[in-house]
Amino acid sequence: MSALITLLRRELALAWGKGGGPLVALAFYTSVATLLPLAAGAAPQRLAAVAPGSAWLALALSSLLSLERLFERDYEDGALDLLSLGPLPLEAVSAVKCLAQWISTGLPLAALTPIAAIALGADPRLIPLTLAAALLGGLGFSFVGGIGAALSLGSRRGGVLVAVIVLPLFAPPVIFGAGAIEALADGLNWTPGFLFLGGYCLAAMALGPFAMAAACRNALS
Amino acid sequence: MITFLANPQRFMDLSRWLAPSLGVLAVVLACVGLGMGLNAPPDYQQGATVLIMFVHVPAAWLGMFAYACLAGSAFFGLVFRHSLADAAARAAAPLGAGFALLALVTGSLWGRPMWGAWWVWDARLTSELILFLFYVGYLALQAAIDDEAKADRAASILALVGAVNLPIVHYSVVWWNSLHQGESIFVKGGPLLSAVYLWPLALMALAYTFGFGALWLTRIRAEVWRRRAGALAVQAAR
Amino acid sequence: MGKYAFYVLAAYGVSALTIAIMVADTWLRARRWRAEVRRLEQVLGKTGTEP
Repeated sequence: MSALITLLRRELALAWGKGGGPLVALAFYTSVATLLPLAAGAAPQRLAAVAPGSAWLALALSSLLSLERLFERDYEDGALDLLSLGPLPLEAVSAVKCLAQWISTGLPLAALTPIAAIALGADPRLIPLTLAAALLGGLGFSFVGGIGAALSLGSRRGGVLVAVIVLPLFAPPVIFGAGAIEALADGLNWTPGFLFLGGYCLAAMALGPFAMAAACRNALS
Repeated sequence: MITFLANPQRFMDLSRWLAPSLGVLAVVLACVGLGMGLNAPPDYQQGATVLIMFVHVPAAWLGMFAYACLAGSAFFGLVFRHSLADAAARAAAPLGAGFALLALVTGSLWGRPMWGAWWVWDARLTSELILFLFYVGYLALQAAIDDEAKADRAASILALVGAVNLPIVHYSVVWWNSLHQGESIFVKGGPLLSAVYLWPLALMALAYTFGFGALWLTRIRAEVWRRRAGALAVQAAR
Repeated sequence: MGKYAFYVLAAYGVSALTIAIMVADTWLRARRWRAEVRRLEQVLGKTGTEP
């Protein structure tokens, strides 16, 4: 247990230490949210219609940013080798890394999502659900994205490759999350979508580490 | 049967006659199927565009079937570490991607006269598009890793992750579509197919499947030769 | 077929083309590597069984 905590603290320190970590993702998110009305035209009704979904999409894309380096840094300087020999199984290491990524980047992004949605013209009463969905979804994005990051270790293309692998896998949480918020906006029942989102994220957290560990072992072999 | 086929030599012996046989069978079935289909009376609702169904539905089916073959091969490759399974996965992917793309294009051509739009985000087409993106991810990952054994293994893991996700993707898209049922003016025609269309469709689907089998076996043979050539080249260089 | 002729023909044309490309690529690939194996086996002077 203490090994887990130590690793978690290390990951969090690394995330916040180098290169301003979460700030880059937040800046990216803000830029995307700013470009949307510039691209789609600032007509309030049209913007408000796509506001929750766009905020959600920007969340998915911003999560992608910090995922690239999730395993790569440790892979390149040999730390991943040491971690694989350590007391924790690689599955646990992967889970801790994704969790740290969510705490350091996903949480701030989730806090920003309702703000962006409001700025784009969404109804304020949607805020609680948007926040909850963003928190949950961010967790799912971290764990699914981690699979892509681990699989592309040692590859030539890096960042774009992770996006190509991972974005189709993001489709279910995006659909469920945005769908739940839209349902609430239309006055329909939002619970099914939210529950599906939760189910997906739990499954990602449970199964993702196995795929990540297998991918890491493959890259280290 | 799997262990029987796992022996490369036995696989090569079997596929030497099986592949061409499946190919011939596929052509025959396609001719019969098309013959029946093209002679069927035009649907009163869709007119002649219903003919597109005979090339669209089999392609869509193959896109999914090929992915199942890919995932199955990937599973055997990962669990049993058999190079023939890896070769089978590598061979299936481009074919599946081709069929998936074909399904999208023919679906679009069917949709334009029927619904007036080149593309609609209905459940089936959206699922097929995401399936195609899964193929692209698989092929991209495989191409991006230089070490072949590592590339095969990483891609196999991705194929299995994709296989687990596919039912979820399909369900999520269906659910998403059902949210907007009230607004939907795009009603997919043709769930009730009369026997006049059903038989040619079944034959075409079978023809495509046998055709895929022939092509897949041949590509695996090519893979086996390629790896053998690689090993021989290393020897010859000494 | 009338006004639908374009779409039906386009769909069949694209299908035929795609399938033709898949067949051609598969066949050429198989031929190429079989020839390569044969060539290398000759070079090495092996007299193994034909694949």
